[in-house]
Formats: sequence, C-alpha cells, structure tokens
Amino acid sequence: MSGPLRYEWVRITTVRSTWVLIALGALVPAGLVLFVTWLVNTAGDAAGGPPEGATTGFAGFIPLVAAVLCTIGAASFGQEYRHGLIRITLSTYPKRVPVFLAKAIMVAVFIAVAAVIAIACIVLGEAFGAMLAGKGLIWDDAAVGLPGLLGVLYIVIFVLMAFAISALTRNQPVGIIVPIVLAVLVEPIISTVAFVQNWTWIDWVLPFTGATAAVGAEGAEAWGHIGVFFLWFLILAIPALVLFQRRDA
Amino acid sequence: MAIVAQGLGKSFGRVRAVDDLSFEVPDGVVTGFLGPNGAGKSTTMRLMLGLDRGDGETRFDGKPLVEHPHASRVVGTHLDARPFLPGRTARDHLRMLATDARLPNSRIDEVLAMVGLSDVANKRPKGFSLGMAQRLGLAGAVLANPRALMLDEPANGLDPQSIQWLREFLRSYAEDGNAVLVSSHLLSEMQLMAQHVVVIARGRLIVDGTVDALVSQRSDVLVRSGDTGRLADALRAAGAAVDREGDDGLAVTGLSTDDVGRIAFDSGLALRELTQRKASLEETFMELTGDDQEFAFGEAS
Repeated sequence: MSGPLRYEWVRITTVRSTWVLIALGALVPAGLVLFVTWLVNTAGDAAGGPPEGATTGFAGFIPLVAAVLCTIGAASFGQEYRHGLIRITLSTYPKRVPVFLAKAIMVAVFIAVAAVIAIACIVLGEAFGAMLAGKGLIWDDAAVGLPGLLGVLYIVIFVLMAFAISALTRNQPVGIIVPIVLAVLVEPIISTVAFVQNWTWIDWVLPFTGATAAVGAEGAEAWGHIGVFFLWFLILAIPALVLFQRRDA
Repeated sequence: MAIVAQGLGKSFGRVRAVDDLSFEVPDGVVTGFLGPNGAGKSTTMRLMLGLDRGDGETRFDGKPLVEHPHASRVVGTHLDARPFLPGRTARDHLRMLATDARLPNSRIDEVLAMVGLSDVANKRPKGFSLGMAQRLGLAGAVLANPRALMLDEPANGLDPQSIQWLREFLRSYAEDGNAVLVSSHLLSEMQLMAQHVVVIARGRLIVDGTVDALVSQRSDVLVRSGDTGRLADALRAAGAAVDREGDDGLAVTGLSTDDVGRIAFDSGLALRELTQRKASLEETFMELTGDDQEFAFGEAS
C-alpha cells in the first residue's frame, strides 16, 4: 500500500493544475467574501447592513471551494483514463484495490489540507473586508470550531464524490459536472418541491442539501448529515471499486 | 526470466480477439510479436499484464505478475505511443514510475541520458515528437532494470539512427539474460532485431519459433540448366520438391545448393545458375498471414 501512496503523492503534486486549483479554491472565495463583507458593512445598519461585530460567515462559501477543488478529485481517475496512464499505473502496481484506495486516501488528505487553507483564507477575507469598511478586524471564530471541521469534511466528501463519479464513468468532465449540477441545480429544485409538499425528511436524503445544512448545525444533527453525505460517497465508490477490478484498463 | 502465456483468450462482444493463445518468451533473445492489423497483438500484451480481463494466465518467472512484490522490477512495459500526462515533466513522469522500486533520482538521470532526453528532462512533454515520446516510454520501461521487457511498436516514429540504437539496445538487453517481447510492423527491422518470433492472426497462434527456422522453411534453391526435365527427375528422386521457374529454371526445396550441384554433376548436367534464395521475414509473414488480415486494403488502382 505504501508504493501506491508514494505513486499518488508524486502524481498529484507534479501537476501544475493541482496547485492552480488549490490557489483558486482559496483565493476566489476569499476575494468574494472580502468584497461581500466590505459591501454589507459599508451599507450600514439603515440599509440592512449587519449589526456591529457580525461576520458574513464562511459557511456560505464552502460549496464554492468544493466546486473548484472537485476537479482534483475527478482528475485522479479521469486524467489517467484520458491519457492512457492507467495502463502504466496498473503495470507498475497490478493489485487494483490498493491503487484505488491510495487514490482515494491521497485525494482526501490533499483536499483536507487545501480545505483548511481555503477556510483560513475565507476567514482572513472576512476580517480584511470588515477592516476596509472601517469596522476593525472581525474574526469568524466559528471556523476554528466544529463548523470549521464540518466545512473541511464537506469539501473533502464533495471532492471524493467527484472522484467516485469519475472512477465509475472513467470520465473526468462527468466527475466534475455531476456533483456541481446536483448541488446547485437538481437538489435546490427538489428541496423547493419538498418545501411545498412539507417533506421535512428530505434534508436527510439529499446529499448536498444535508451536507450544507450540517455546516450550520450542531451535535448529532450535524454529524448525521455528514454521515449521510459520506454514505452517498460510499454508494458511488463501492460500485466504482468493483468495476475497477473487473474492467479492462 | 521467461514469460509463459497459457490459454489466453478475450472477446469483444461477438468478436473473439484472442483465442486460446499459448507461447513462451525465452530469456536471452529478442522475441518479435508479429501479426497483421487487428490480429490481437496489443490485446494479447494487455492480457499478459492483467490490464485486460480475459481467459488464461501469464507467468513471469513462474508467477502471475500480480503476485510479485515489485512488478516494475519484473517487467518493464511500453504499450502506448504517448504514455504520459502532457503537463507533467519527463523527469517527474519517471519519478512517479520509480516509486515502486524506490529508485534514486540518479537512476532517473541515467535512463534519461541513455535515451537522449537529458536536455528536455524538465520540460513538459506536450510538445514532444512521436520519436521523443517513444524514447520517454522506453526510459520508463527500463527504469527499474526489469528482467523482462514488453514493448508495443516501440520503433514507430523513430528515425533510422534511433531504430538502429533501439535494435542494438534490445539485443544487448536480451543478451544479459532478460526476456524481451517486441511487437512491430517493421518486418525488415524485426528480422534484424529478433531471433525468435511469435506470429498471430485473428487472435490465433500461427508460428512460434526461431527466425532462422521460419525463414529457412520458405527458402529454396534456384537452378538453371539446359535439360530441366532430366535434372528435375534426378532432384525428385533425391527427395526434393521441384517447381518449374521460367524456361530453364527450377525452384528446389528440401536440398541445399551443395546437394543440387552434386546431383547435377552425377547426372552429367551442366548448370547455368545455382543460387540459394533466402526468404525474407516479410515474405514469410505475408505467406503465413495473407488471408488473415482483419482490416485489409482493397485492390490498388
């Protein structure tokens, strides 16, 4: 297992796009949150601005970070099939289960670090946005507590979903597009219908809606939603692993 | 470390691409893997490495590849013309492959120098020519100094000097006691490179033997004389197969030039020509696989 992990480490760190995406995943949300924080704070209380000392909240920007970073997850298998590298990988490491697990582990670890960096940048962006609006440095303390941890898990599992979908379909664009479309288009429509129908349980079924709710929730509810999100990842990853063992490279 | 393939088989839908194929790639010689387009050469190589799922088994040093702790030390492969990510430098590509055998960076520099890519080691290979891509693929195959090599069309895109270098390199690699399996469409090149050949067509084994034995089976002796009728009778009486060739010629198989000369002398016949005609590997290949091409051209107009 250590060989495939070393292989994956070199694979993921020697592609320029990995570093570009990590930078984009941190700087784009940080820039946005800086602008939004500055805007709402300069609007003032009379124009509907936030009360003194309030933060914009990092949680709202977590899906954006995940959407940017999911390309790294989808590339793990997608890039290999696209360029025929999978045959080199499996000639070097013929045991397929360790190869699959090493890819998943390395993506998870790498994205966890990237997510921490991104959340730190978002918190900094919030603080500087408030400072530019003349409110002084206001730190979003929630980011260092459970919501921050749940935010990291949201991003990691989101990217792992992209990983599993690209492993299942052997197609990188599909691995990127499907989770984003589900998160920003399909699930909001279903949630709207569920709201009208008063299906209160729907948050416990829809992976991305539930996971988004988890970042703002506490205790068992938060962990329950993240657990459901992870379960959805397993539902995709297990068939992907079975097919990976059976398919031609 | 010989490679032994046993009962390989693979179907794509209703098409049987590889059918009960068994052969051995011996140590110490280069084995040419030949067949017309669509014969199943690449599929066979992928089956041997466990990349494609199918029937049969291939043993490397007595065990399937998956049972060896370090596959890169067992067999080096080069199966695709551009087997790398266009955005990853040549050196980093090899660093990735070096992880299995935990090879030092000095070994990477060594193989890059060997294939003449030192100057572009830190360049991204998206701009590499086909020849440079083939060299990088070969560098990856030999990186861990494996006991066997499996190369699919490694000479494609190489200039004549590079082909000559490749031929000498592979022969020398085999002479060190390694097994080398090379598929190629360049039959004249293969005749110079390989000592052993495996010929397949439509996924089935046609020939598995040495190049010399294969070619000599299809070689003959051309003899010309003023009395071809008497000479033919004398040669047939000695057990040769004889065909007329032109007005005064005979194509003789089953006897050497010495034998034909002696029989003519004993019969009191003067000869105008006595020539050993050696078939080329290409002629032999065409004869063996002529009707088995999967995707044949139409008549040339």
